[in-house]
Amino acid sequence: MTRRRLPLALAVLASLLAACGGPDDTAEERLRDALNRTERLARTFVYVEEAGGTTSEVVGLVEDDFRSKARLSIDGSPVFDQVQSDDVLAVRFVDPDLLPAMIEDRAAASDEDGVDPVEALRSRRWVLDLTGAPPLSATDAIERSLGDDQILDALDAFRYVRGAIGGARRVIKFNPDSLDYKPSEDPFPHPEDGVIRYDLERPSLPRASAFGGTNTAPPLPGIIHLRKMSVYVEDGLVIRVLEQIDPAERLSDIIDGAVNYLRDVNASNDAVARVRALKQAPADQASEAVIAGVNLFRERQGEDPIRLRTLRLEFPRLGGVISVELPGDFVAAGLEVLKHRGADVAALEESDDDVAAADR
Amino acid sequence: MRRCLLAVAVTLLAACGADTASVGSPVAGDAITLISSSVLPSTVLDLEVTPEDVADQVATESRAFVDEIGLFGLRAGDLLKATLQVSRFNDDADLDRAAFRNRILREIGQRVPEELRLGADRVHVTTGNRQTIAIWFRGDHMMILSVRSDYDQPRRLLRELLELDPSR
Repeated sequence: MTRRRLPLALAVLASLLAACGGPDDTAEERLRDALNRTERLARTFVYVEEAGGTTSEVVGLVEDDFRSKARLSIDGSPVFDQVQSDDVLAVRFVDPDLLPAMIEDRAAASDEDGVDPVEALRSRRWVLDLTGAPPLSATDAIERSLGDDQILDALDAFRYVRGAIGGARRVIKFNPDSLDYKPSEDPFPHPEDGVIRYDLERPSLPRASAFGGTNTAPPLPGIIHLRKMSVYVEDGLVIRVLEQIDPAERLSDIIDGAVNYLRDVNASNDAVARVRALKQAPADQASEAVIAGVNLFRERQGEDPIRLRTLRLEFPRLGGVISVELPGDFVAAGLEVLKHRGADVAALEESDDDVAAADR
Repeated sequence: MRRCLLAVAVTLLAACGADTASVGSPVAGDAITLISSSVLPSTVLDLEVTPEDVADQVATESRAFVDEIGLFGLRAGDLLKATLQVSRFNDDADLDRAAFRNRILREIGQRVPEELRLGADRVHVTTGNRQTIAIWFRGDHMMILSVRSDYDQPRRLLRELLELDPSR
């Protein structure tokens, strides 16, 4: 090897080593920076979730963090529109069939002015609530589970992606030459020219032996163990997020963990055999049964159930001037009749009482 | 609640527990002057603006990075709905350094503030005791808006106050 060839050889060696999937400490930082930059821009978005045989699509625009507009379609048919402008919230049911599922159980029939918002919504009219926007601070946000409200999920997508990054084992830059890369386990397309794809690696499944004892909780997988997520970045901005939450690849390990746990807690041989038999079941049925079992435990522990889904989030337009306009023709009424919307009157009255007591 | 809203002012005056060697030299509280209420309109939305007396609190501060401060109450009738604190940093405050700003932001509220974008402005939002706190920087000034959680137009109030330029 001549002196001239040595640097070239070292460069090749370095690139090969890089291709071996070594840790990429800065990938997470770069991805978080891209999310921050993107979130600061006015934008349009498309959020498509497929779960339980239903496709929900939210198309919308964000002028800034207090002004947005979105339309929810289910299986291709528009059903619900929402516009928020500062504290004002306006909604309309394009398809009133969705209305019963979105009404609060404790909803009053009509507001204090005698206007029945439910009736107005049923007639497909816009209903506008001057103070109906959700709580301003994140900590006051109304609790809900993923999939309860796709419009709010779509508007909250950046927080969701950051949460996914936090739950990942690590973030790596997509590299099809890496020895760790398994094409058969990659459900997402390769990035186009000029686009960087960042992949979130799943942490290992919890092991039964890590818990031990007969009084401990089973080694349940969480959403972080079943999630695949890739974020596509172009010119430093996020243009697409793809996610798949699916236990299929880890089904065998999850079943093994459950069997070990059942043995640890001295469960009956029948119970162990029933769980082990899931390995022979068709993949779809086994996934469904395993996740149903996992969710049963999670709900008992007060945790959100795992929602098996695929997500595609795209930002067709980033930056520039985007303006949100409130509808001109509407019925003014309180929107607290709808889940996750409208001012929480009871909480406000309670707060007033506290203030009055404190003033006394 | 009134006490809670007004108490925020003191936080800003102190040197935030900062390492003074790295962020500049704080000044004594008696070197701080009060900002006139003329920087604000007499009403904002449906709220009446009134200056609050913080002279005593300011005088007791021994370390501060501000040389001017004003605290204004925003009331609906007799009820204090919000306060706005306007503070001007002195020359020793290294406002260009993110570390300095972040140190101040971390001192305010009950959790790390979340950055929001409103138009061209970035506002840091956190929570206090049944109040939402919004913080933003405008030139060498910092503004802290504390709004009772039961006030029904916090976003509109914030957007209105973002128009304020205390240096004019």
